[in-house]
Amino acid sequence: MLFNSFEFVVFLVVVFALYWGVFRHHARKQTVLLLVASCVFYMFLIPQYILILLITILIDYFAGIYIARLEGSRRKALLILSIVSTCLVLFVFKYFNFFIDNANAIAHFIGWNYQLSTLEIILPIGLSFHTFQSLSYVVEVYRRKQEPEPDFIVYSLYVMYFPQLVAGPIERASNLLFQFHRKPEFNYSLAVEGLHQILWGMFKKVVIADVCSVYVNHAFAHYDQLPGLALLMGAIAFSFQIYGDFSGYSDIALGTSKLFGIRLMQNFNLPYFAMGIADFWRRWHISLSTWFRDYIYFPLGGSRVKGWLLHRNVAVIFLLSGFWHGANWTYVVWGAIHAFFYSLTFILKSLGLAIEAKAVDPIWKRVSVGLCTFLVVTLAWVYFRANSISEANGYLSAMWQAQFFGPMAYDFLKVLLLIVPFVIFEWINRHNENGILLFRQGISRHARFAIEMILVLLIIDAYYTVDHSQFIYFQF
Amino acid sequence: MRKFLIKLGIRLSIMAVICGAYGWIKWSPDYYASIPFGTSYGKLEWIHNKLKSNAVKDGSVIFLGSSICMNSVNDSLLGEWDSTDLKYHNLGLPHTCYAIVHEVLEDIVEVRGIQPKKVYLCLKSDAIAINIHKMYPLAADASDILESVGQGNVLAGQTYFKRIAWNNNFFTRSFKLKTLDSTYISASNYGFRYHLPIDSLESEKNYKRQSVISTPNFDAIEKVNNGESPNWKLQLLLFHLDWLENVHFQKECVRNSIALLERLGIEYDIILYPNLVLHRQQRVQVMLDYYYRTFPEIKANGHEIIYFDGDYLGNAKYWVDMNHLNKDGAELLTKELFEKIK
Repeated sequence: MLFNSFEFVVFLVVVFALYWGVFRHHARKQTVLLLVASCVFYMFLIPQYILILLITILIDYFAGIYIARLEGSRRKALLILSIVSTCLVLFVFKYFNFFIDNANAIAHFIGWNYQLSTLEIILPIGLSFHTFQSLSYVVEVYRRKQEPEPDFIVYSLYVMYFPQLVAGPIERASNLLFQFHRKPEFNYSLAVEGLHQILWGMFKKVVIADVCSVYVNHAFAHYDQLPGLALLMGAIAFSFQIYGDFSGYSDIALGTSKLFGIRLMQNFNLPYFAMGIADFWRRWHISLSTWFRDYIYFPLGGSRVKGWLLHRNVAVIFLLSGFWHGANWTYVVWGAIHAFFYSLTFILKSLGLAIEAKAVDPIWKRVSVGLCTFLVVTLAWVYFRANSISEANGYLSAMWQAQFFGPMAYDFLKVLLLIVPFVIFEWINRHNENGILLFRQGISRHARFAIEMILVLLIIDAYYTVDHSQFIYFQF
Repeated sequence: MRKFLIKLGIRLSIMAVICGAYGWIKWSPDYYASIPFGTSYGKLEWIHNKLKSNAVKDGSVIFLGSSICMNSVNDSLLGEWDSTDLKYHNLGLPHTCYAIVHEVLEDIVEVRGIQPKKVYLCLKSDAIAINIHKMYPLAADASDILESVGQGNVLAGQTYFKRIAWNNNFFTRSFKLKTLDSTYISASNYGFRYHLPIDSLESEKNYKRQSVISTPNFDAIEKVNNGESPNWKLQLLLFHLDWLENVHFQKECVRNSIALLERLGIEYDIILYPNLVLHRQQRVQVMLDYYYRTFPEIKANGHEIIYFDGDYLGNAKYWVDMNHLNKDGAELLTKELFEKIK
């Protein structure tokens, strides 16, 4: 079920009415309702895939309980077994065909004619997200930072909670489980905040992302015919498409959850105002970057190690992060670009040339560093968006080699009419969570209503006049 | 909780009223007509420009219908063959959304007050269109959409939202990239155009595929025509089509067109367009009976449905798919049509 669909609106209204109406005085029934609703939500696409989710839940539920009971090497062995089994599901559905394709390509290269066959399967929606969420639970139990969850219903809800089931945020057990055990109390201001966040998320997805996607699709489909300026604008449009798409999804997820009195972690914090790549990763897909930090980067030694080990650690997390996004070399190259610039930050720091995100002054320097960061991120996104490395290379070389101005160049400049006001709005709200506080503070009730009304009209407009696409991150 | 629901209810109601009023705005007809330029519905702009430039005059003959009409009735040939000064205009549109066809007819005869000598309403042989096309709110204004609720348009709400969207697009179009498909650009500036031919072997394959689907449908229609009451499965299907897929409303639009022409005293006839499955199986009568049964006003008003019976219609080499004729087929059909209507 897509967040930007009529079905979801009906679904949300029904679940909300049951949760706060029929089951208001029955905390247990509310929990069961959320689990049933999550199952319905997940089964909307391919119902039988819920069995895969059930397998992951069973593995990690029992693993959590027994890991907490066991000691010594058996404890570690069980952790490894749990991680391997959970990852195996991910491997089969997401990476098996990729490895087979590459093995076949290598075999062909060295002259073997034997071709291994691939699996005819569709990737279960949100598999990477709930796999990582399950893994985080097991590791936290192993580290004794989290008590194992004895209640199977609550644990299942932790993995399946519908607002964040298909594209995160990748929650930690310590943030979510206790909220499921707490007796829900309707919180008026939290619910209002939730609705505003849903509205803002819908705006980002339907207006910003979907309108930008028309520029992006056209630019990537015809990059060999368009002038450099159009391709540059196409790349910038993709930066805002993916930001509007994913952060919009996250806002809808956080806002929906607030309607049920449950707070999810913040996933984005104005990433395009970042001062450097390191700062960007503190602001972009925070739940994933902190996951890699806590479970891969720190165990490898993080930034406490020196020399090549430091750069190895950076490379490992970014290559894995790229690979997490999809079984395609384009994502790996995207991760490698970020790894390169992240490592460069450490090198500059060792030379005394580091840019501290919090203390870049004066303003022109801040703007320059911010723009350079945005440019690097935007160029890296070209690999993320392209279907192949050669397509991305072709796009980038066409950007520099083609005539900069030419037919359609000025048509593509029009995207700035959308992006610039959006950036200004986000800048005004830079100290607020997700740019929604403007709705709540500092302006009159009527002005606030006018803003809401304009957003609603823009959403209706873009929803029906532009071809809306699925959320990009649903495929991961 | 109570406070939350009351405030939310009030806010949503005010928003609904504002949105409703917003849908009522009428920008210039040129604006609405310009929207589909370069899309598969670009013909709407072509018709608008043709009417605006007074190319369609009183006393001319007009053909209205879907793509089958648009690509099969060569109005230039009709004009050449006719020894009088009579002008023929094929104003067929792509897709089979009869709701739009009716709006175009209303624009011609009521809004612009053109008095054609005759109007031919062309119906598909295999079905009435389902759902409603997203371009409908460009041809219909807010009052038409509201009226359609009373006529069973189950997608009226969604259509009204689309009208609001197109109204707001007046301000926001400046930041939207319009990607124009060159195929449709040429279609937008072109009245009658033959379908591109396909290999006759491919056409035969299409026939085999499509007849598997169409034959049981024609069987079921024939049974009902013969007075057999439909079984529960068919009843369920008909209910689904009529009320969930909006066919009931599309039928109402055909009735509205007939009623409009009757009211204005404009001569008209209904044309049943051919279909390869129907003609090869020699079952044209099945669909004729179906339409007479569905629209009793045709006979009640003293009209007959014009249909085609040339042998060529059972030959796949004249078709590009089950409903659309290629150049040779269209010319033969135009010839047969001319013989019937001259």
